[in-house]
Amino acid sequence: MNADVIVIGAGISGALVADRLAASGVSVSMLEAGPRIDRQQAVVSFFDAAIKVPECAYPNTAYAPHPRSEDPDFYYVQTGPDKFKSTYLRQVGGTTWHWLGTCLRLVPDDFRLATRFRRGVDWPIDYAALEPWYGRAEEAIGVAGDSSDNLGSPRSAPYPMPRIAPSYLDAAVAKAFDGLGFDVRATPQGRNSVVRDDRPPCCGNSSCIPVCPIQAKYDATAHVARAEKAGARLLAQCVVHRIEIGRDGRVAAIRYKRPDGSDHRATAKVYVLAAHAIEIPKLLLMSRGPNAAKGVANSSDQVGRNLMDHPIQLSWALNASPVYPYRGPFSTSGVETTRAGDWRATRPAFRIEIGNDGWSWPTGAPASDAHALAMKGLRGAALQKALYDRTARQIRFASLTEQLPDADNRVTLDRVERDALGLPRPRIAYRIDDYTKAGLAEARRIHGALFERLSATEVGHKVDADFQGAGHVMGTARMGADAKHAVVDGDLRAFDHPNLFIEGSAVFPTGGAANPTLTIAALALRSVDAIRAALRT
Amino acid sequence: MDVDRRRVLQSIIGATLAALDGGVSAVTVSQSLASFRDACAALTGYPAPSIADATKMLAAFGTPQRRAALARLARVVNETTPTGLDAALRAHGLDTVANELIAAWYSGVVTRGRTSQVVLYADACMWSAMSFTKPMGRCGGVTNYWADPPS
Repeated sequence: MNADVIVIGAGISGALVADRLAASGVSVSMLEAGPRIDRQQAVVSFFDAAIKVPECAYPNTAYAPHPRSEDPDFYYVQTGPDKFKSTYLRQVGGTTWHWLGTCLRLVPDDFRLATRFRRGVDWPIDYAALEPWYGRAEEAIGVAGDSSDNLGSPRSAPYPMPRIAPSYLDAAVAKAFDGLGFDVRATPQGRNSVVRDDRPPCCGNSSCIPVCPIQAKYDATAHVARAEKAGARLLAQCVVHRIEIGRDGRVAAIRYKRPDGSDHRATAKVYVLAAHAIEIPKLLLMSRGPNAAKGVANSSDQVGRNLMDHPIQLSWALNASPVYPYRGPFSTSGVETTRAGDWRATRPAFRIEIGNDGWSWPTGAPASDAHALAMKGLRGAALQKALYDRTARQIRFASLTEQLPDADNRVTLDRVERDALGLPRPRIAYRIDDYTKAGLAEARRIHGALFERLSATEVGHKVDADFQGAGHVMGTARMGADAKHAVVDGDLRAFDHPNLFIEGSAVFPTGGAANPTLTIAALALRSVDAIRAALRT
Repeated sequence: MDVDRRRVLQSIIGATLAALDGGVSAVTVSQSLASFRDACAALTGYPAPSIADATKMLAAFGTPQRRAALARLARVVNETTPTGLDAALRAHGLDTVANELIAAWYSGVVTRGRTSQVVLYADACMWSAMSFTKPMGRCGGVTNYWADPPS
């Protein structure tokens, strides 16, 4: 196989790059490790799943396995001291199949954490450089938002769609925030509020995670389809396991395996690695060879290091009166003012997400409540009333906290454990530091104060080692200003290999506290010009 | 529920359970399922489930370990007035299996040891009880309906 550009991974960043390049006449091939997904089958799988975790709607193949939320040791080989709890999908469309759809921009201070707060590192680009691309990413994804809301990230263009309305629950809960200095705002979302791009508006299926049955929520299959229509070639079930480096330091070819174990080689002028922040370092490290002694793109020894997430403080309670969760998208409002402030020198940024999904996340409700009430001996009308009363009052907060880059938080290759194709499973060392713990504690304190103001009962907090994963895997092929300390430059080009680009949240030097997908998309769109330039040289 | 109906119910659940063991004709099984549906309606407080749902539930819930208790449960349901049902179930040591059956209908999940099986999803009784919403994964209405309280 030969193409101008080979894109490895058909998630959001790979699909956006492939679409843009193919639309301008570039010959593009996308290689995706996992299969194509049938949406209706995914919905059926969600219905049939006893444990309704984010991955439950999708096949977990032997040839391209993915981690599972309910078993952090299923695919990862974890060495601790803390468990890494975030997962991803390996399939056409990638992890956007089960993302929430939150489309927040980073705030300007997120790009200069070292300069402003002597924490972490600065990005090689600033907010102003990325701002136009944020707008284009919002246009590409289709973001619904309120352009008059100040979320701390200046805008030069309006959102392409009117906002998704906050829920009745949001309005009821927001009263508790009055006077505390927190503004509850509608969350910008990659979710149609009107018909757009041949996709319907959201009808409140309330199953955004794991699957939107009607694709009102954006997922990357939209841009995969566009790329294919523009001439890009998609090859699913192709597990790239090696990047070959020539004597000139350029990528010469890639090798991939099919599920039957057969091995193939493909060449291109430029290669774009867009395989998520665990598989990217895994592939780069697997590709050690004569011309890449420490692994591909790893002269800095930063590949696999600085693994970050947004560890979550999850809290829940029963409101005094009905707020009617289980209606609408999983979350429609949040607090963003906690993402920026001078206190970031001592504790991290975080954002408070208000949930519309009752206690489904922390307790497995409503099925768990139905079971528990029935086992208490309630039946008939008494059971119906009790279940209504309990589920109608469920509220939950999730605060996503910033985690600093730490070179010892690291993805490497396990020397023993292999997948079905004989490829090493990712070995993960991970620790939550005191800085992040301070943020989790502060979030827990605020959640508790809010519950008290709401006169809520049955308050629950996940504490200490029970922090939750956000599914925001970042940092393992960091972007930076120089080759000694980073894997890629500000255009996402590998310092070591001029025809290799790396996409996705793996390149984030720091993670802020915003859900990363919009930034992933903005960076991907911004990188296309550099990829085109690389083709010309 | 009148006495005759309860008596029929008792016999048919027994036949259904026997049928699960493979010793009864297809006709009897069909009758048994119909009566099992009625029994479940009496316990859950909702109309009888569909034949398809009842078949799935009986197959999942009626394990060999539970069959004898289910037969006794049918007998007690048949012989007891609704107001005395709780006490009768306790007196016969059947409250746990009754609770488990109701839990299965409401949650849609049958648990056996460490494994759980989703027998029903959208038809689980919990969604009917939660009348302010609908099963997750099903459309709820026009865009932004969630901004208002349920009608």
